[in-house]
Amino acid sequence: MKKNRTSLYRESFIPIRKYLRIMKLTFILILLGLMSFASVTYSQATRLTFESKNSTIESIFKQIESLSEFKFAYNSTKLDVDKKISIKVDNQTIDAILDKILGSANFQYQIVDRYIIITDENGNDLNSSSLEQSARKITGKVSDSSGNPLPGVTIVIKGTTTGSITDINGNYLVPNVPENATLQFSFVGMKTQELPASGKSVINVTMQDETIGIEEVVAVGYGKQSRARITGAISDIGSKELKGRQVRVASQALQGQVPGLVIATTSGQPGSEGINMKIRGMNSWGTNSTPLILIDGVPGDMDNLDPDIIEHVTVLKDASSAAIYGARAANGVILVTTKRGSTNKIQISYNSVFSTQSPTMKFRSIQDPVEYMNLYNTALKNTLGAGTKDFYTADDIAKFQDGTFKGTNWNDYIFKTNLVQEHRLNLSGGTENVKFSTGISYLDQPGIVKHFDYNRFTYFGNFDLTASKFISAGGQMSFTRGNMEEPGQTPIRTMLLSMVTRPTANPTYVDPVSGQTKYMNGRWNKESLWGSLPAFLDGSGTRTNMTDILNLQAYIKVTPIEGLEWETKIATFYTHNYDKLTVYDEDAWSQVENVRVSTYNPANMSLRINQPWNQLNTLYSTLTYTKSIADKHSFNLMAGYEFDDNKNQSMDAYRLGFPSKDLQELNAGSTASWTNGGTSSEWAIQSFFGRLHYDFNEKYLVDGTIRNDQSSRFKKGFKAAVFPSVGLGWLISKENFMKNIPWISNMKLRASWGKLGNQDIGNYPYQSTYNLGTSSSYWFGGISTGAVPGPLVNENLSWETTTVKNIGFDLDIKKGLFSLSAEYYNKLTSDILRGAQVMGAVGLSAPTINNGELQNMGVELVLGHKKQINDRLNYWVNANIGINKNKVVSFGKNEIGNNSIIMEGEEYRAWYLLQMTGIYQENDPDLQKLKVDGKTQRPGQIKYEDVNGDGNITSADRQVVGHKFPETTFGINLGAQYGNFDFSAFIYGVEGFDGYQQYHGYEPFAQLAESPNVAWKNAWTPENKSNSWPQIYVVDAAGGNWYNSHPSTFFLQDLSYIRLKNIQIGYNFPASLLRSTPVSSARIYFSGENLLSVYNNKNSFVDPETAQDGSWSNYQYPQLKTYSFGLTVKF
Amino acid sequence: MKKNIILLMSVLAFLLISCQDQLDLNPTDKLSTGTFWKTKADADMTLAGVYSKLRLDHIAGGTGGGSTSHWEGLTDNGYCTYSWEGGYSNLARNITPLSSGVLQDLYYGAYRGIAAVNDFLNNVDNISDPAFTASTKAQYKAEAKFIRVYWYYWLTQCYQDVPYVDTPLKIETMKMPVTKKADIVAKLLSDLDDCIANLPDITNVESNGHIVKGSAQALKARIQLFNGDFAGAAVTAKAIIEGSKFSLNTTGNTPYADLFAGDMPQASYSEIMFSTRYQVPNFTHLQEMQLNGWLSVNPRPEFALHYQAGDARKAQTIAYFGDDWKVGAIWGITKVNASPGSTISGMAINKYCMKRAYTNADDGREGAHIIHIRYAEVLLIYAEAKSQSSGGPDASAYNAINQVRHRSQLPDLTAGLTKEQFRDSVLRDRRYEFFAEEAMRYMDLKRYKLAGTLLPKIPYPPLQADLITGIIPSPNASTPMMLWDDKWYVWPIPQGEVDKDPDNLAQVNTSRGY
Repeated sequence: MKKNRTSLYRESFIPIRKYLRIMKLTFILILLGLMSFASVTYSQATRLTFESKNSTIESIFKQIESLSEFKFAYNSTKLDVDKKISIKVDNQTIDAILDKILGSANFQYQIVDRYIIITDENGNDLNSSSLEQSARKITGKVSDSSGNPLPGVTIVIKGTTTGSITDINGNYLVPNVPENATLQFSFVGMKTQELPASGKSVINVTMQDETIGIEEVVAVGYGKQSRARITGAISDIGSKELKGRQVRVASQALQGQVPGLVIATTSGQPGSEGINMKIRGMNSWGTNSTPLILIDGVPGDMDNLDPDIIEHVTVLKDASSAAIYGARAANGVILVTTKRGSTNKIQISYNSVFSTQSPTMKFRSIQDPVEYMNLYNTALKNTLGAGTKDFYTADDIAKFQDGTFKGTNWNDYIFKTNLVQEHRLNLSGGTENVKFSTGISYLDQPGIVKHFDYNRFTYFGNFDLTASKFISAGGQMSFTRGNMEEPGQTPIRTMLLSMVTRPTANPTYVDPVSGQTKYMNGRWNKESLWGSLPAFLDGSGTRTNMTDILNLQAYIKVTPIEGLEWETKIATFYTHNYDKLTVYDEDAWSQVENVRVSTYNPANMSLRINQPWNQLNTLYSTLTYTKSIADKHSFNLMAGYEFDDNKNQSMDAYRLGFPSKDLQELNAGSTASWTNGGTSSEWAIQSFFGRLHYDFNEKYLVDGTIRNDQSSRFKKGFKAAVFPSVGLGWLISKENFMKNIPWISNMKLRASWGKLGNQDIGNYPYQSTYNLGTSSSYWFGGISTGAVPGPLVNENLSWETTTVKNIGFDLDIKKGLFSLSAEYYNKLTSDILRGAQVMGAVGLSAPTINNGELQNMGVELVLGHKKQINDRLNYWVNANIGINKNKVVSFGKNEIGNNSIIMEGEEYRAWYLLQMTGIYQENDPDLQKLKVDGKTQRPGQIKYEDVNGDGNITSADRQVVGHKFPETTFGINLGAQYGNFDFSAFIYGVEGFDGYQQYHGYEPFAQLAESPNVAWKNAWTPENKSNSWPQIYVVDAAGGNWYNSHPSTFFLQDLSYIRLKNIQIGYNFPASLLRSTPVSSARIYFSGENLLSVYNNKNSFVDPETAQDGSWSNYQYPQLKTYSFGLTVKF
Repeated sequence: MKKNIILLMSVLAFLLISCQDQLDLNPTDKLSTGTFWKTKADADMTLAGVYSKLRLDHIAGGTGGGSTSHWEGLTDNGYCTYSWEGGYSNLARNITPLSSGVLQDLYYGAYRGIAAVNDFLNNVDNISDPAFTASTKAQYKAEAKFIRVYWYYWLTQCYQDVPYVDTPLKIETMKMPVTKKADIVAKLLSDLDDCIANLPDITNVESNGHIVKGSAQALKARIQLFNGDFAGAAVTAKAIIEGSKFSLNTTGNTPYADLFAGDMPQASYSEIMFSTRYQVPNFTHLQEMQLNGWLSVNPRPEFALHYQAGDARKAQTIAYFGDDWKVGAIWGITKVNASPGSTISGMAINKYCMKRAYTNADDGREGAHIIHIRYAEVLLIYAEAKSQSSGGPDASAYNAINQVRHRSQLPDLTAGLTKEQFRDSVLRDRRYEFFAEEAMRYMDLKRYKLAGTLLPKIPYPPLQADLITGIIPSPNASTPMMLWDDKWYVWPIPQGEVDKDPDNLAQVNTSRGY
C-alpha cells in the first residue's frame, strides 16, 4: 500500500515563501498567503465522518463524493467495486479512509487536487491504455490552451454516469463507448466540450478557459447577468480597453470608452487631477451630478485605486439597470469590479513602468522681452492717449536687443521633464475552494514643475472561500496612501506667475556690492512691483496632503437549496486626510533699489493643519432565486435590503510665528494667535429593493425592479420614496424566421422606463438652525460667541426624481466581424432640489425646495469591427459617439450668474454674453450710432450686437451664445495583433463645448504688467485692420477696462478638440524563449499619452481639456504628454 | 448549517430594527431652534450675531469687495481703481438695476442684518431666565433695534423706498410692496426714541463697543439732518453736546490719525460713538491693504491738493508723491512714486493705517475698528442744522465747527458768513473731516443735489497732477468727463428682486426712470 499525493501547487510554494521573506509585507498579506497554503491541500484539510455497514465499495465512493468534493476514477473491471465492506470513519482524512477501504489490496491511489485516481500496484492507471482492452474504447490526451497536460479532467459519456478522468499526464481512457455516444469533457474554470465519439478511437482535446467568455456576463446591481439577457443601457469596459491605457488615475482610463460618459481631467497636477465625470449630461442644479461609484458593490472612490487592480467596469446608464440603486442612481452608476483569484496555478506577476512627462502645451504668453516692451508702449498709448510717453524708452529696448540685458523665457524656466516610476507585484491563484489575489503597487510621480510631487502606495488583497456546497465567504481589503506636495503659495498662484511674469525680468541677480546671488522679484528697472517666481517656488512654504483610504469588505453566501442564494456583505470605506500648509516669505529683492522686497521672518510663518475624515459603512443582504421551468420559462428573483451610514468629521488648528522654518509642527508655534476648530455631520439611508427577471425561450425578456429608499436627510413623513423600473427585450435573432440568416449572430431590441432619485442636498436641510462660529461672533473687548439664524427652512422637502426612457438596439454580424449598438434616451429630472428664489427682504439664505424640470435627450452609438486575418494577424476597431441635448423645461425666473443663464427652453446654464460682431473700423457708420454704456466707441474697439436696438450696448443686450457642457463626445479604439506584437491606439474628441475666460492672459497687461497672450501680436492697428482682435490696451490702466472688457463672445473659446490620447505597442516574448527560465510570460511595451491634438481654440492659453463645465482657470497646471516604457513578467 | 443560517438571519433582523432610529439625525455643530431661546446666554449669543452682521464689505472694513472708503469713487473726492472691488468704478459711469457690486450687496446685506434683528426681537421675549432681567432685556432689544435702524438708514439713503420688514418673513409672506421713505424714516425715528429711553447713558468706551444712548441720539441727528429736519437735528445734536459724555480726541501728536489706528488706542477714545469692532486675528478686514497698499481708492488731485493751508488732517490722511509709503515698504518701496502699478494719482491714503509695522504674513488683514459715528460729526451736524434751521449761524454754530477745526490746527472760521456761505463751509469741513469714512461725501452730494453740478465738470479718470509742482492740468474738449444722470440720486431695486416680484417692484424702478 503506497500513497502518492500530488498537489497542483507544490512547485509554487518555495518562491512565495521566499518573496514573503524578502518583501516583509504587511501581516495581512502574510495572512492571505497562509490561507493559500492552507487551501492547497483540500485532501488534508477535509475530514469526513460517516458510517457504512455492509455496502459496496462503489456506494461508499459515491457517499464520499456526496459528502465532499472528491471524485473517484477507477476501472471497475479491475477493481472489484461490488465488494461489500463495513466502515466507520470519525473525522478522518481521505488518506486514512482510503487505506481502510482498499485495505491490503494491491492498489495505489493518487490524489490530484480533489480527484482520486486509483491505479494498480505499478502505478499504472486503471483506465490507461496499458490495461486490457475490452470492447470499444477511446483514448486521448487533454491539454490546456498553452499545450500543458491537464490532469483531473472529467470525461463522461453523455447521458450516462460512466466515464473517466485524466491522469497527471493528461491521458485518459474511456472503455465501452457506444458507437453513437457523445463525450463530455469538463473541468472547473474551463468551457465544457462535447465531442461525438463515432468512428474515432483517439480524441485529443484542448480545453479553453471559461474566462474567455467573461464579456458575456456583465455586472449588474447586486449580481451578474448574461449579456444576452440585458434589457437596459449598460456599457461594459473589459480589461482589454483598461490595459490599453497607461494612466495613473483609474477614471481616466474610462474616458472615451463609453458613449454618454464624459470625463474631464481638469489639471495635470499629480495627485490633484480634479476628475469630473458625468453620465448623459447635467442632470440637476443645486445638487451633485457625479455618478454613484461602487467598488465590488460598495460605494467608494475609484481614483484612489491602482488602475491595474480593476478587472472591469460597468456603466449603468438607464433606469432599467440603475433603478436598483434608487435614490442615488439619478446620475448613473459605475460598477467597478476588482481582480480576484481564479483556479489557476499561483501566478506572480511583476510590472514596472518608467515614464517621462512634459506639458501638452506651454503657456502661450509673450516670452520675448523686446516684443513685450513694444506692445506695452503701444497699449499704454492706446489706453491713455496719443501723447502718452513711452514707458520703455528706445534706449531700454536697444539694450535688450544688443544683449546688454537679457530677459527670461519663464515657460522654459519653470517646466522640466520628469521621470515617473510605477512598480506592481501581484500574486493570485486558488483552488476550487480557496481563491486569492493580492498585490502592492508604488507610484512615484514628481511634477513637471519644481516642488510638485506625488507618490502613492497601494495594497489590495482578497480571498474567496468555499466551505461547502452550502456556504461560501470572502473578504477583501485595499489600502491606499497618497502623498501630495505643492508649493505653499497655491499651485494657481505659482502657475499664474510663470505665465504672466514679464519676460524682461530674471530669476536672480548678483548684488554688485556684496557679490551675493539674490532672488529677483519679477521686476526690471523702473517696472512696477511683481512677485518673484523663484522665491515663490523655493521659499513660500509647502502644502503636503496625505490621504489614507481603507476599504474593507466581507461577505457570506449561503445556498440552502438549489437555485436559492443568500448573500450578505458588510463593508466600510474610510478616508482620512492630513493636510498641512506652511506659509512663509522668502527673501526676495528688487534689483533696482537693491532692497529686500519680501523678508524671511519666522515670526510670520504660519502653519495650518486640517484633518477631515469620513467613514461610510454599508451593509446589504440579498436573496436570489433562479429557476427554469420546462426549459422555456426562466426566472430570476432578487430581494434585498441595504443600510448605509456616513459620518464626516474634521479638525483644524492654526499657529502663526515660529522660531525657525525648520520647526514645522504645531507645538513649535506661538500660542499668541492660535485657532482651532472642528465639526461633524452624518447621513444615513435605508433601502429595500427587488428585481424580477423573466425570459421566455431566451427570446422575450422582461425585467422589473423596485427600490424603496428612506433617507435621514428628509423630515419624518418625507423620508421614503419608491423608484420603479421596467425593461423589455426581444432577441430577434432567436426567432425562427431569422434562422435563415446565419450571419446575424445577434439582433436585439430593448426598451426601458423607470425613475431614479437624488438626495444629495446637504445633511440636515429640513432643520431650522443657528450658525455658530467666528463669522457669527463679535468683539466686545473679547470674543462674544454669536449665533445667527441659518437658512430659511422648507420642512416639506422631498426627493428629486429623474424619469428615464431608453430604447436600444444591438446587432452583431458574424460573431463580432461587425457590431452595432445604438441607444436613444430621454431623461426628465423633476422636483429638482434647488435653492428657492427668495426675496432679498427675507434676509436669510434660500431654503432647498423641490422645483423645476430639466431634460436630457440623446443618442449613443457604438460600432465595432474585428477580424482574424490569419493565425498570426488580427485587428479590431471600435468607435463610439454620444450626443446629448440639454434643456431647461421649467425653472421660474431666469437666473443669470457667472456669464451664464438658466432660462426655460434653453440649455442649462448656457453662456449668456454680448455677441461680438467684429471690430470697429475707422469709417464704420455705427461708430456714431452705437454707444456702449452711453459712451461713444472708437476704431479698434469691439463691436457688439445691439439686441434690443436702443443704440446703446448694455447688459440688456446679452444673449444665449454657447454651450457650457459638451454636446458631443466620441472615442475610437483600434488595435491589431501580429504574432507576438500588439498595437493599440485611442482617439478622443469633444465637440459643441465652449469655455469662457477673461482677465489673466486674455486681456492684455492685467495688473498693469502681465505678459499677454501671443494672439495680441495680431491686434488691430490702423494698418492691420483685424476684425477679430481689438486694439491692444492696458486692461487695468485708467480707462482701460471699460471698453473691450464687457463679458462678450470675444472671451468665449471653442473648446472642441480631437486628441490622439494613446498609442501602445507591445511585444510578448515567445514561450519557446522562456521555457528554460522560471518566467512563464514576459511582455514589454511602449506607450504614449496625449501625443497629438487638434484644437479649435488657437487663442487659448491652455489645453482645452482642462475646462470643467466650460470654466477653467487659464493658469492651471498643464495637461501631460507622457511617454512610458513598461515591462511585465509573470512567474 | 441550519443553526448558522438562523443565527445569521437573527443578527440581520436585529440590524434592521436598530437601523430605523439611525435615520433621525441631528446636526451636532449647530443649534437647532427647538432647544434654543431658553437662557440669557442664548440672548447674548444672538445679540452678538446681530452685531456680527455689521461686518459687511461696503459699510465696514471689507474683505476685498469694497469698503466704507470705496464710496469716494462715486464722488469728487476719489477714484476707484478696480472694478471687482465692489463695482464702484462701474457705478461711477452707469447705474442700472443689473449693476453689480455694492448696488446688489448692500441691498441683500442690509436685509440679512435686518433678518437677524427681527429674529432676535421675535424670540427674545420667550426667554424666562431669572438672570435675564427686564431692564437687560429692554437694553438688548434697544441695541438690536438700533442696528435695524442703521440698516434702514443705508437702505433709504441709497434706494429710498424699500420693503419695510420688521418681523421674520416666510416664503408665503415674502412678497412685499415698498414703503415710502418718509414713512420708514418716521418709524426709524420712533424706534430711536425707544432706544434712547432704554440704552445706558455711558460712552462707547465704557460699554466695550455696545450701542449706548449717545449712539442712538447721534444716529437720530444724522437721519433728521439727511431728511431735511434741521430744527430736529439741531435739538438732538444739542442734547448730545450738553450731555458732555463725548469729546474730540486731542491727545498725542496726530490725534486725528490715531482715531483710525487700530484696537488699542481706538477702544479708549470717547469720540467714537458707534463703530464696527475688529480684532486680529479673529475679526479682520483689508482696509489698510486696500487704501494704502493696493491703492484701490485714489484721492483725486482736485481734492487732495486743495486742503486749506495748515490743515493737520492733510498729512494724517494722505501720503503724497515722495512721502513715506507704509504698506509699500513690504515690497521694498518705501516712498510713494508714480510708476504704473503704484498709483494713478501718485498718492496713497494713510487713513486706517494701523500703528504697527506692516507685514505680508497675515495676508494684509488688519483689525482697526471701522467708525460709523464719531463726536466730530455731532458737532458739524449741530453747526449745519442750527444755521439752516434759523436765519444763519449763531455763536453756538460757530463754536461747534471751530472745535473740529481747532483739532486740525485750523483757525476759526471767518465770522459773519451768510447762511449759504456757512453751509458751504460746513460741507467743506465735512468733506475733509470724513474723507474715506461712512460714504459721507456721497450722502452730502445727494442731499443737496450737488452731484449734477459738480461731477460732470471733473475728468474721469482724473488727470494726473504734476507730482512736483502740484499743478493739475485742465481738461480739454476730448477729455472724458465723469458722467452723471439725475436719476442716479435714487438707486434702482436690484433686477433680481424685480424679477422675483414684478407685481410689487417693477413699477418702482420704472418710476425712477430705470
